[in-house]
Amino acid sequence: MQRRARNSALKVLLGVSALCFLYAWQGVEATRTGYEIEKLRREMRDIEHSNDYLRKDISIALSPASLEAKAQKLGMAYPEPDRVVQLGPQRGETGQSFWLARFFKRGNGRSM
Amino acid sequence: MSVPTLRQRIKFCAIICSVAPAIVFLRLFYLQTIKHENLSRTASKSFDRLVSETGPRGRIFDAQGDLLAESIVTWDCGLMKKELAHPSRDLDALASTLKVPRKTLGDRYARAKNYMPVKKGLDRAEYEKLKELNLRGVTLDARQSRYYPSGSLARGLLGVAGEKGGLSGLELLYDKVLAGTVSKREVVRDAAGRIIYGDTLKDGGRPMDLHLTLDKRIQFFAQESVKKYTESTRARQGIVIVQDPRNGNILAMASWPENLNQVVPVEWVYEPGSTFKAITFAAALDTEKTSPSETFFCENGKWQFAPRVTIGDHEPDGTLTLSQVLERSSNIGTAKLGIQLGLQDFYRYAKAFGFGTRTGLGFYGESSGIMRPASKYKPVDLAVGSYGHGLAATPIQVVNAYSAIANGGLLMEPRLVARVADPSRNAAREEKPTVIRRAAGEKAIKTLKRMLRAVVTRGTGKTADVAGYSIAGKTGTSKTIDEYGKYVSGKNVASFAGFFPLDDPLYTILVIIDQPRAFNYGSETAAPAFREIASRIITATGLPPDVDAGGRPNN
Repeated sequence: MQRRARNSALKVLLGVSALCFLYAWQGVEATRTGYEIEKLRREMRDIEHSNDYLRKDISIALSPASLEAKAQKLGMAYPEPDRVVQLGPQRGETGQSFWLARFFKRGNGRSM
Repeated sequence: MSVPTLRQRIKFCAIICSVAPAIVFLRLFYLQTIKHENLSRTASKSFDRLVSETGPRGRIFDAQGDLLAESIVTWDCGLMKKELAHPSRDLDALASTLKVPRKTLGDRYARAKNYMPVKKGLDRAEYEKLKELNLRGVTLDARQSRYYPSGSLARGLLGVAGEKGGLSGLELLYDKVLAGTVSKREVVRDAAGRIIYGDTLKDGGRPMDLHLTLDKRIQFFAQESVKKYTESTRARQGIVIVQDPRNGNILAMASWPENLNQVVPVEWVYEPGSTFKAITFAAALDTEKTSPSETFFCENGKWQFAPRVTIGDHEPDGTLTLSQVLERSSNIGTAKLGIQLGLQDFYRYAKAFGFGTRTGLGFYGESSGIMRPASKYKPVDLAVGSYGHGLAATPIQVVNAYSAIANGGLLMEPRLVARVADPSRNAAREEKPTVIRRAAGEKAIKTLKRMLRAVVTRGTGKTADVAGYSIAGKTGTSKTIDEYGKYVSGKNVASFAGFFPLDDPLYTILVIIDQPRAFNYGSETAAPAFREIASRIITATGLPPDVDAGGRPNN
């Protein structure tokens, strides 16, 4: 009887100890995970900033001033309107085209 | 020793040994349960922090969706003097990495108590170089900075944004829409200051983006041309506005020299001069107080209107048809037409075309121009007012009036913003084109447009013509007025207002060259600039020719 009572007490003690250990472990894990999350958040922001700067570089490279400077270096110049040949139907022309092409044209006359 | 005695001793030892853990356990119990709330509150005060972050400002796009303005993270570098491990060596490294003069840093360091700013607005490359140095005591604070990827493109219109918001131009006008939102996070830090846990209390979200009606290409052409012609004529300033007459959309608005504090095309006023003649003609044709077959005797270039008032033309002309009065820009012919029109109708049509009233763009400094009340007009005021003297207008009023002529008589509200959108590109608010009023009838406008075409083919506007395209417009040369409304002698304002193609206009362009020193007339300065901008637009948009070599329509 006494032994049974002692064993039960030991089991209860073990159970309570296990719960206390679990509680303590949870707290430590939460802190460790918190560090991890914050580290990943900083990394994500860092990558976003890098991305922003790459997009900035693209925008600057595609700016009209930048493109003109590059074009001038290659010896290019603005064409006058009379040096440009228009392909396709001109203003006032009836614009006759093959029936298959007309089938694929949108209502506003532009091809798909 | 008997067994009962041994057991008692073991029990006694167990009791002695459990006293210390029991005391610890009781103390823990007391701290964790009874004192738990108090201690948690004290700990929170030390470790919990509310962190506010201002998000980026909204972006600004042109009509094609190309970026004109955006916010990006930059860093402000500072250092804590007391934490520097090797001050001299660290300052050398900072100076060479950030390209700051070593002497400047040294002087600042000597004067500083502890914190010392080093350099503001570091970009990513500088930030990464600095991080690699791994210097103790160097701080890097992130903040949002505004950048304009196209450099000076449309900067006068976009304006400037500071740390606290927009300061001028569209940045100021749409500050509430573009302002970065504040997000709040509750963070728990450890003893070393590192964040253990963070919870977003308020997510600021992204602010709205502005989609303008500006066309980046046309804006570039306008800026290049206005700079070129202003500098080549050694003028005080130049202004160009390009508008779509069908809907009032502003496609380009440029001024030179660049002014970031003022939107010059809506704030500056000038005498429109001969470009205003088109309004007098529209009024006279629409009220049928004249017809294309009527002729006017232009007094051989000098007309004694009143005892001390002489109206003069730059060419001594005799009798001219109505169209020739406009083609040759005769002040005398136009003054006679204006008198024939009468003050009431003159004033009514000037107002109908938008003069004397703000256009509704909304800029804080926008002027309504200067038009005295009709009751203060004397006969000489009507005569000179007919050819654009004695009244003042803003460039936006003039281009808007010419757009009304171009589109058949409808005065449109000028538009700069096409829509205000949220970042996912779902339109939050579309700004629809608005017709303010019908300024003149279609029949009168059609006749006027033909006359304006003749100005370019046969008259003073020949230098604005582009072969193969039906350009119509009017030159203007007027006297400069100072801030007190007085004429400044020897100083002119040269301008050209026009549109094309004639029958279905897509572009209205106004060019103003203020106080050119080389060449004075609109035909010599502003008209060639118009031609250059029109040519660039035609080439860039692939606009097909609509007239043949003889000036006849292609169809």
